[in-house]
Amino acid sequence: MQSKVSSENNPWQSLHLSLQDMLAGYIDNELTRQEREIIEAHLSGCHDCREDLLRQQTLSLALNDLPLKRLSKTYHQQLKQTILAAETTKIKLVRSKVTIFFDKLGPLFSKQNSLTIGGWVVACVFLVMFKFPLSYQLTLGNSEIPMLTDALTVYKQTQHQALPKIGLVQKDIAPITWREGKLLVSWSTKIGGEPAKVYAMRHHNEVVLQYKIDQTVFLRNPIVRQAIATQGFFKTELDNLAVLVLPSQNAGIIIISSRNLLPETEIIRRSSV
Amino acid sequence: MNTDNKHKFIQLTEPFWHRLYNIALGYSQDRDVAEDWCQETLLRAWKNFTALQEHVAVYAWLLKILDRVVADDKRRSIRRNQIAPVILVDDVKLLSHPCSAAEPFKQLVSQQNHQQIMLAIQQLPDEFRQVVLLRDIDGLSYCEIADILELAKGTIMSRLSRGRRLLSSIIIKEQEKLTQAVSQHNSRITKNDYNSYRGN
Repeated sequence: MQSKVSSENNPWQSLHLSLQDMLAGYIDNELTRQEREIIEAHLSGCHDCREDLLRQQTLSLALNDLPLKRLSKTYHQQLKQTILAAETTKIKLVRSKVTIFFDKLGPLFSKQNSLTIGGWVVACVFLVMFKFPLSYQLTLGNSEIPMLTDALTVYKQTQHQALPKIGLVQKDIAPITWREGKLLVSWSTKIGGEPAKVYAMRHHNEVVLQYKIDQTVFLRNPIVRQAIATQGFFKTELDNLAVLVLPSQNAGIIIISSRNLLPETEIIRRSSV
Repeated sequence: MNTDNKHKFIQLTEPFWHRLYNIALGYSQDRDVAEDWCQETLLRAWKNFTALQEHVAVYAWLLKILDRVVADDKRRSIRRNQIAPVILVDDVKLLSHPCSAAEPFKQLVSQQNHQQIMLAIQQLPDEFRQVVLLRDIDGLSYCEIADILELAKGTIMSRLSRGRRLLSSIIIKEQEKLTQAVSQHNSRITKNDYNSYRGN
């Protein structure tokens, strides 16, 4: 075989090497006339390149003939519902007593003074937060917490369809339990790109969703992290739904329910144990 | 964001959902994962819908997002910067196999079912798999692929040449493994037959 006659400095060999990267272009008719002529001249004398060309051609045709795998009708429908339910969820948080207090103090600080007393203000905020772990919540404006957006999407999906039947295990126990809450079904999903488990609980006549999420996802957001560190939980409202985030053993818990239905005191009491 | 906008988004993207899913399946044989990627792609696309300009091809735009979704997901689980092996046309191992010649190879490929081919594609390094999927499975032109992957046309061509060559060798190797497994199984059966015959 000609191609075996090799020497690194052999110009034929270097041409042979560089043209190998153009064989696909020759098959797919993506070369200029000049390039085609060079390839054809080379092919006439190179058995290995000819064989490779034929293999590539065979493969390309076979792949082209593969039937299109389609989304199932159910999933297609579900996807549509998900998009229809999707919103750019804006997080509106109740402003804390601490931040309101400092807002009121704001006018007292002139621009000149603010730089010098800035450090004291930060120190005071930290002092207040650690000394008095109030039920404060920070103002986020229009920012988002991705894990909550994911959890909310799952919640909304369950509003448009029957709860998934998969994963119904009688012995399964939800991470947070309370007297009126009855576990209906559990299934796996992804929150923040990591595997998570969803527990649908019946609470009176409504469904409350509990998510057991990966610890790294749970602690990813600094605002959630800070709230957990100071008061042991993070609470907010999204699209008129109550959202509670709690730590659990090697995991995080998100609970989403109707605004007036969150079994708040019981859960918080249990989570602090 | 109003409902009209959402319907417009669905109307524009829906014709490509199956193709998108088909490509996602090329990255993972797990249907759930492929479905998740499709959903994530569409949700990200919806979030950025206002950024979509009229002249941009919708499908190319979706594929670009899917590429990022898959990369983000894979970054967590697989080494991303793996060095893609390069096989030359005169690779000794490849050429020494009886199935490497044009006709036997054609026969071998025709015997492969959908799943076997997709599994072979999944063994390709990411940079080769992307181009093979977009060109050979989805039928896009080099210019379209170059636009989606933000690479030069020449890079697409070389990756495709190398990717197809590597895929050929993977299919040949898989066939070899299968043949070996079958012959081992047969020899075991023959031995058992012989032993039971002797036992009788």
